[in-house]
Amino acid sequence: MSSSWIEVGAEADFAGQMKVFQIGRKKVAVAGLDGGIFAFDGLCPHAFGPMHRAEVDGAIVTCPYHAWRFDLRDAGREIHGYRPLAMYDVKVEAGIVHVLFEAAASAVVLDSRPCKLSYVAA
Amino acid sequence: MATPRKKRTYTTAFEAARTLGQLFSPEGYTWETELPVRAKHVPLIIHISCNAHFTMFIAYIAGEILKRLDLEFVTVGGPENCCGSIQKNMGDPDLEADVATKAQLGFNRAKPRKVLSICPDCDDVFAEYPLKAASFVHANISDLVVEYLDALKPKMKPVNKRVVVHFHDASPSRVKDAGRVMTILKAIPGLEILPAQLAHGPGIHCQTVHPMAPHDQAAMFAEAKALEADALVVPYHSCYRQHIKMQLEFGVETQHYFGLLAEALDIPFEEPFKIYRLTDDLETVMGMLRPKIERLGYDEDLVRIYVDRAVFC
Ligand code: FES
Repeated sequence: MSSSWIEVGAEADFAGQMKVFQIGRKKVAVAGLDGGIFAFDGLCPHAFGPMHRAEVDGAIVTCPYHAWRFDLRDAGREIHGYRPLAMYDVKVEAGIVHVLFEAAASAVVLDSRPCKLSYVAA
Repeated sequence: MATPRKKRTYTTAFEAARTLGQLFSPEGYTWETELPVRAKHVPLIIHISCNAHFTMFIAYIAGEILKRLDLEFVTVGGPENCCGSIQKNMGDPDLEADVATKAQLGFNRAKPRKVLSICPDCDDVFAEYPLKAASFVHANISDLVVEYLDALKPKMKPVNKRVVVHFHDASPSRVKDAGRVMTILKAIPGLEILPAQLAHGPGIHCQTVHPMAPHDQAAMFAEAKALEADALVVPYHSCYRQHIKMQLEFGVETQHYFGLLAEALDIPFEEPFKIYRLTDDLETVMGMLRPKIERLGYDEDLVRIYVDRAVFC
């Protein structure tokens, strides 16, 4: 099987949004944050927490189950030293976001939410 | 200088537990955050839940008691073993059941016969979402002490204190806990339990969801003082967190019943949370913590926010 660029939507629709797609047999989260668009495993590597419901601090996303925290600008590194979050390559062409997936497939959006912040003044 | 408070989020709630758990623990004290998939069988698990990381001496004493009984156990903690109550309280009840199940699946890896939680919220959540085919019974930590009370009694020395016993009775499990705590306290030689009328707490525990109203709290301590109590004894870490500060006004100490048990069993322990709260000054606490904060590489500004929220609540 050869990898394939999968279209997931217009770039403008991802600003400050977390979306999760079913692509083939995988859940893939796509978020527009910290001045970029990032695609990553929709399920946390710890215990499958829903990463599209993560909290956001710059490019660091916090899983809502047990707060493992992944740096999307550092290959999904977990900042406490736990297992990393798998990431996907992303490209934007003519305002459309594409995710590099392991095989040809279509993307079906499962959920979409505004990014929630990790640190909010009370 | 006032601390800029941050709203409670998953990040702040769990990072506070993770960070203060390390900062408020005895040197060298450790716990497991994840049991391996094929974990070695261990008959007993002590479970430290999220806010119980602020009062780590309780889990520490529990472990020391089990060592004195020559019982094999493992202590699990960290946000990785959250029961799901945080998700419920954060307005995501749809995540609660899954988180509760994950925690119990983690315990089940060691095929324990009993899992003992420190927090009553965990007791309630695990009772609501029990794991099918679990190897273990889940119980409050008081259950274990009562199970081994006959073996512990000969090891106890007198604790010559007069105490008022604070309790909750909003649910059958709280009534059971209150009964077990009273059984344990009655087994401690020298301890005088005073006939208080105002020591009843609201809801299932104090501090977080059902804090005791200030006038009820003051009345409870005024009565304890009038009875010449040395201490108000509490069943839960959350009650402990809410009531410690009252010592500053009434001169009556707040003690968790595990503290009295440790005194009776000659288990040395420290209560950093109490020491910090009784300074009544955030910057004094930060000064005390600074060497450890630097050694462990934490961000002092974030620690200040966690300490302010957890200790000066
Ligand atoms: S499932 Fe994500 S931190 Fe545990």
